[in-house]
Amino acid sequence: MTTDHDHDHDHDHDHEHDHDHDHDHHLPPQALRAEALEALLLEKGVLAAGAVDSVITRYTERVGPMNGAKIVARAWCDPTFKEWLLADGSAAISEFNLEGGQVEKLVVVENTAAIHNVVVCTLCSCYPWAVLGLPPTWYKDPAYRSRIVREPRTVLAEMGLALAPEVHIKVWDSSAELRYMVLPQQPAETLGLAEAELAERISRDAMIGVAL
Amino acid sequence: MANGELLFEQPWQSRTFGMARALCESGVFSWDEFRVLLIENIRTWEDSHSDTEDAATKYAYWDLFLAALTTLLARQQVCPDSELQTRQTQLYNRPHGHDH
Repeated sequence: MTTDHDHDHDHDHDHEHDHDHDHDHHLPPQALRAEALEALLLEKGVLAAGAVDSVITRYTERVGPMNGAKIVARAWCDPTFKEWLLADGSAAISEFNLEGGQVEKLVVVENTAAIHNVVVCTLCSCYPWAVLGLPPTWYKDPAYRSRIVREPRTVLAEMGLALAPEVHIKVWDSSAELRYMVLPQQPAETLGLAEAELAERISRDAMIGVAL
Repeated sequence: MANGELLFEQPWQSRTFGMARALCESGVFSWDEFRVLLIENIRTWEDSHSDTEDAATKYAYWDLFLAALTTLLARQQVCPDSELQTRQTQLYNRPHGHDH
């Protein structure tokens, strides 16, 4: 009867772990820098405790494209609201009391059979957070930002949206003052659906203009 | 949240965004002031990475965002660069087991 257990195996594992100093530096420099910055700002009293968590929670839980979708659905169901939305986007959405910001001057542009709209921020990443949430990575990439202005039809096709040649494409470049949101066309097969049902069918990409 | 995509690939990015917004909301700087620096960083990066392949693989938006934030706070003397660097180095040298 043997009493030998697998001690060697356990010891090897412990030694490997203890001697693996690279574990100390597995965080990228930016992560350490951000951590250092946050700690300093808290210590200096410039940042209030919990403020950063509060912002993150806001944007991960309450701010997002589902809010824009509700607005689009309302416009599809209510012609008066739609007219107001197209005339003064910021005013029309104010009753929704949306968090998230960046819509002090919101312009909503309508897709029609003749015109397709698409939004970009050529200089950085300006985006109507309150209605669409935070922008996707591709929206912020240099390739999208420059190419959508130069060759919109090609870029949209690459992204899966092939538009008929007679459809005119308008590219809206966000600036420090203005933000844009696309009002997609309502698909014929959805006529008569309730607002809440419609909202579920309206995608973030359609409200940027890279999908229908 | 947005079409099932992650808003942030790394936690430090969400902390950085949270800091920038919290500071703006408490009046430390305006978003326009911050945007000017972000645009500057982006332009500098793009000017030195005109090759399309580079742009696709190396563009690190959040690095540029964090840099704009630290630059602005240094300029306003809210958080001098030397202080930030010292603290960053301390964190880098902290013993194993403290990183989460």
